Amino acid sequence: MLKIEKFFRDPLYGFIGLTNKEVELLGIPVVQRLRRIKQLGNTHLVYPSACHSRFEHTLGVLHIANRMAQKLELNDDDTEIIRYAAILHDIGHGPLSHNFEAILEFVNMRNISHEDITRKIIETDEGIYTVLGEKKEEVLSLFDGMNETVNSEIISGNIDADRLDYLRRDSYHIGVTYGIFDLERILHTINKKTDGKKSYITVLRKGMDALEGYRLARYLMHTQVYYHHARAISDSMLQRAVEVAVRDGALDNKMLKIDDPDFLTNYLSLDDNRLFQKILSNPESNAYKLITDLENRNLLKRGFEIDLKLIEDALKKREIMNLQTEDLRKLEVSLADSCKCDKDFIITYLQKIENTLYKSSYEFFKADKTPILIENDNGKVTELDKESPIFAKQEPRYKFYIFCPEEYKSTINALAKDIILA
Amino acid sequence: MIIFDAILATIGAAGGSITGRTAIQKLMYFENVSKLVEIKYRPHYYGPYSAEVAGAIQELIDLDFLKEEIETAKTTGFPVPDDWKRYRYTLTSDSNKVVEHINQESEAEINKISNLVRTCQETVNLDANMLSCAAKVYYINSSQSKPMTVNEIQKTAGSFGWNLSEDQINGAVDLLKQLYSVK
Repeated sequence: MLKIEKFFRDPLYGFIGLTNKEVELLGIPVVQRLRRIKQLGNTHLVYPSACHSRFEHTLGVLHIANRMAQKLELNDDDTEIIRYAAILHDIGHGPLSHNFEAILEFVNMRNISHEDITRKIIETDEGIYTVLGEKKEEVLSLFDGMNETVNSEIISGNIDADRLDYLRRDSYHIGVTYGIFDLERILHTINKKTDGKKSYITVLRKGMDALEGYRLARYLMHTQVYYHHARAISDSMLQRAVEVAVRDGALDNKMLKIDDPDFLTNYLSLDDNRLFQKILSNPESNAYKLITDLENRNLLKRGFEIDLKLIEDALKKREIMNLQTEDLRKLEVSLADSCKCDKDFIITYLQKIENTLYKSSYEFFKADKTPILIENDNGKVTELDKESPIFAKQEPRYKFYIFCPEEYKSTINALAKDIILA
Repeated sequence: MIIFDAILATIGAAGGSITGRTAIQKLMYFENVSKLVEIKYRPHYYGPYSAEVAGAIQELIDLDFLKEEIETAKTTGFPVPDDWKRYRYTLTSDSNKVVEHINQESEAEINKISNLVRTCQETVNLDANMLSCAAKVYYINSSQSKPMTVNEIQKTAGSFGWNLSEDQINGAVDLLKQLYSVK
């Protein structure tokens, strides 16, 4: 039995209990840094109260992971490791959360997720080793995509502690109700199915309606919050500011190169505030203006937007769909030249709003994850999609935007129509 | 070649439609081996699998470049388990125009894709199981510096959860010989 020694207040769960070892783990700098990283990045520019941090979400994930482990009757040793993994699951996030993944991709020319960095930190951080010792290997195994056990699914799966916490937590802090669902019913109806060495989470049939609420919540939070156009604009401005700051020398490109021996030290030295301060160190750079504009919520505007599905010309549609970063940059330069605007303030953006969880097979194929599974009264397991009475149009929405300063809106609109749709 | 174009070109080379997600996955795997595309693959139950390819197929469907038809136990005339499903992907009028355009734009690469698809058609009639076996054998063999015996292949296959009979391995090697020179 884990000995709970300390309690933290939480607006969603009342109190969250921790063991002494967990308090120690929570105290190391790589975890404390999460206090200085906003959970939703720039979303506070759309919803002013979206200022909660990754740290409080981490505590929430610990709480939910523990409840899942209890319900699935996992032993104390497994539960202990799951709880450590919950505390560490987000330590790889960069400043302003998911925003920074796009920045790392730009600098490193390849896809780098915060999970990759989380693993790297757990492997190398001395503080983590001091607290966990060899148990860190067991924690790492839960972040391995090939680990097909409920222990791993609690940390990363379609119904994991992360999602079960953040949808409700984000809703609470933002002041919306889109992310609310019947958490207790889901926790009450999850079950463990074993297949040889593998095991997976199912939800008993009686919990199916609660699951519908959960995936509807997830969909609504995506459309109303995570993919809000003003957030897309502010995220694009931040990413552009970093690119420009790297180009103009305010930020050292080397410090963001994942293969650099000092990468982790540099990466972990950054949080929301420190990133802004570094960029603001060069007032001559356009990065300075972009960050100042972000701080003052002086956002770029949508000069042009089009739903890809509505483009009738197949070759045009294919051309936009195939646009690579360098093509987008060329387009930005061409538009900027034509309207005499600085190219740093013209930003192209291809957005895909996925109907996540409403097509679990899609989610499964795209993310290599198990679909949501329903366990019927006779023990037979089927996919939620096959059982669900709720039909959803399963097509994601694809939008192509060009953001620009207010004064260039009409010019950009006309030019874009000429260049892109002609 | 960009993954979207490569998928459309592959289906185009097969005559406008391909049956089975696995078949497309494995054809794309062979194209990846031939460096016609650059895609990440990892071992899955049906052999090397790319989430990127699965996602791209879905996006092509969403944007009306591919039509997906699902054959189920109820619609097929064969005796199959209740939960049996088979997917068929067909080019649309939009993607036929695109394929025509790609054929002109990237003639050399399209020829290579066409040869690869034709070889798989002529050798195994694009049978998903045979393509899957060949992809598994290539995946296993490509990690070795020396030729492997059937037993060694079977043993390594087992570590991925794959069961390969001697006949399947021989059939796979025949196809791979047609596609590449196998070590």
